[in-house]
Amino acid sequence: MRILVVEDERALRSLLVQALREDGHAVDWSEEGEDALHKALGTAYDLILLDVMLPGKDGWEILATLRRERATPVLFLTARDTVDDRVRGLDLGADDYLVKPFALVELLARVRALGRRRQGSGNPTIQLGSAVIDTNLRSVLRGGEAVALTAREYAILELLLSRRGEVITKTEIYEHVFDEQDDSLSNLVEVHISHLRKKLGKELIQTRRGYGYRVPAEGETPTEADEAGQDAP
Amino acid sequence: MIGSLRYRLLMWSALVLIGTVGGFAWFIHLSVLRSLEEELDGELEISAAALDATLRLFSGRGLIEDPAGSFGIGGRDEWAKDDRYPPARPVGMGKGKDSKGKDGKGKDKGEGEFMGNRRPPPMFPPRVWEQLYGELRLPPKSRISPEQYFGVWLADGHLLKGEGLPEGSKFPELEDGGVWFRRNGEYRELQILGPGRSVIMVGTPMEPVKRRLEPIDRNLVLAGLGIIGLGLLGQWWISRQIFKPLRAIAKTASGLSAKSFGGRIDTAKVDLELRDLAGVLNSTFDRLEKAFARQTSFTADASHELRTPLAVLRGQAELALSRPRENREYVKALQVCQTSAERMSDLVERLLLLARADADFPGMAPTLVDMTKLVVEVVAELPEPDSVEVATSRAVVWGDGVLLRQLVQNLVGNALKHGGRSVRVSIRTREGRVILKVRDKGPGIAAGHLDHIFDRFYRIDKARARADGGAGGTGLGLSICREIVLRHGGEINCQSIVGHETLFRVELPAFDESVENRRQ
Repeated sequence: MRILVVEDERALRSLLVQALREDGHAVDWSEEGEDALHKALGTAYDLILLDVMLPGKDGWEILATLRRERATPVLFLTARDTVDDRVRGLDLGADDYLVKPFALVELLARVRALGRRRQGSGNPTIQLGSAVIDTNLRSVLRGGEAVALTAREYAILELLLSRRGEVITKTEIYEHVFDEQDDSLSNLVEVHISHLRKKLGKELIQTRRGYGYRVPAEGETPTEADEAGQDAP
Repeated sequence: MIGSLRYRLLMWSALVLIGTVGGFAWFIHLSVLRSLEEELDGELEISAAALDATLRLFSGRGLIEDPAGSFGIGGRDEWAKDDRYPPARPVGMGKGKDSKGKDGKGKDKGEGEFMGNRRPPPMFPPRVWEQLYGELRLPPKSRISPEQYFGVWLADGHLLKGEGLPEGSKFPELEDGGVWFRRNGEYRELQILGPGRSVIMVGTPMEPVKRRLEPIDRNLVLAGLGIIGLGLLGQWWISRQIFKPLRAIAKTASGLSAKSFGGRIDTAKVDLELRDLAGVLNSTFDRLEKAFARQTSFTADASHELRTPLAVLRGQAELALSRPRENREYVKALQVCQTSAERMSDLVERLLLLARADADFPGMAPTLVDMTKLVVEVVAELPEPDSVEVATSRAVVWGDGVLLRQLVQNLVGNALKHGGRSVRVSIRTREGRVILKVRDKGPGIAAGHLDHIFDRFYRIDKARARADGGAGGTGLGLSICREIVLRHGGEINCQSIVGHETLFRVELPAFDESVENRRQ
């Protein structure tokens, strides 16, 4: 997932960014209200972690402005813990609310849960052909054996799975899987897809030449149709 | 109940009502009694006058000659000397035979009709006596004293005639002439001196007066109770009216809570007498609301300031332990933890100091503090003492050395943080005031911020303060400075020219050494 972290406390921000990246997400960050709003409006983030007390615009304002244009899920991250504050945040359109200090594992679990909800499925286990993907453990089993995926490979797989049957363009993959600091060398996506195919089976990821990639919808039999098996469009 | 103002009000008005109505009823009772007694006395006087007239009639008819127009001109002394012949004797000489002739008959009659000495005195001819005896009677029909009795005594104590005299009635010893009313137990009696120093006594039992008074008293009591009852009812209603606005005020006040300080008493609707109270209450509510808002924001700020480093500490440790890492990563994580812990302990120290300030610094130990020495020491302890220019003259205050040191440290530290290398500190005494100035050539503070820089957790540049990882301060330093200065009876203010310089000026009362010298 591509996540925007908005936090003005430097130590906390870098720790969040590191933790989320280690959990396989593409992470951008911002330390100031105006800049955060600009980024949130300009990029289709999968999730925004938003601190309430910020210089410039505060978290409430950012959320209120953002909601007029985008439905990006927002997780409020704040030291304000009164019921009034929570209610206010949720009423403004926040999707979740976490009070500092929090356990990192809880934050990561909530991030994953929000991701699942976005995909419209609450089930953390996904069956794809002979592969079973556990989104909680971020692990893939193929025929009962563990498949080792890199964070990027997994992120791409997750993105494809989040909209099964649909074609996902390379641009979308770039937007959701890579953050501002990644080099967007055009062939990187293809490299990751080719690795995924090797690990999971060629038939699971189909190429629509000129458009992008898709995984078969649930119930659909994976076929070696079209250009499947060809690495590059 | 006893504690209730309304109950007490009712009790007091009940007491006042009972007193007033009771007093009035008593006055009416006495007035009626008095007028009845006067009427009674009038009737007694009429009766006495009638008896007197009868006696005079007989003396006037010459039966008893008396040039002075009264019996026994010789006085009682002579009567007493000569028992046999009354002092009227010279007067009655001519008629002595008549008197003698009837003597036996009158005597017999007297004996038959009267007891004891009630027989004709020796000097009366029995016929005249009989006539007189018959004429001596009460006038008919007394209105309120129908049960009158009377007695007529001659000057020698001889009872001429008595009718219905109560047991134990005897010759009234009159000291002087005139009219005498007296109470004789249950009776009221009138005595007058009749002709010949005879004594006429008319009396009547008081019973009829009481009987007439009884229904009046009963009505008075009933009416009184009615009035008191009505009065109390009215008082109850009035007290309700009186307390109505108070209840409305109480309702407004109880409607206020930590959540909503919105309601205020509408002073325009409150009665004139309560308007002051309502105004005082309203302004109290205002102050409370402000204090509460300040407290709430202080608590929120404090919790935010404490929770953020805590979140860093906890998250950093969790992250570091989440997987095996290189040594340098652990070192980095521990450094972050250390910084956060330092920031937290710094913050906790300052919060505790502020809490102590709010409690007027319990345990504050004032001594003589040489501010000059203190400033020099604080500057010398700086990492780069040479960057601060110091100008001093003698300055001594009476205060807490630890707190004053904190004050100087905070101000100098603040100036160094914002003013870089051009900081100037001066201290001197002038007109009984110790003046500390800390000047820096930093970017200055915009006018909009100047009013707030002493507020707790107020930061001019919030982003920079926290991005510095704690070096930007807690936002409490200047609040602490102000508290310390205020507790020492001084003043602190700040002037700034944006882009040029900032000047913090502290004034403390100087210790008056001359007073101390004189004392020693």
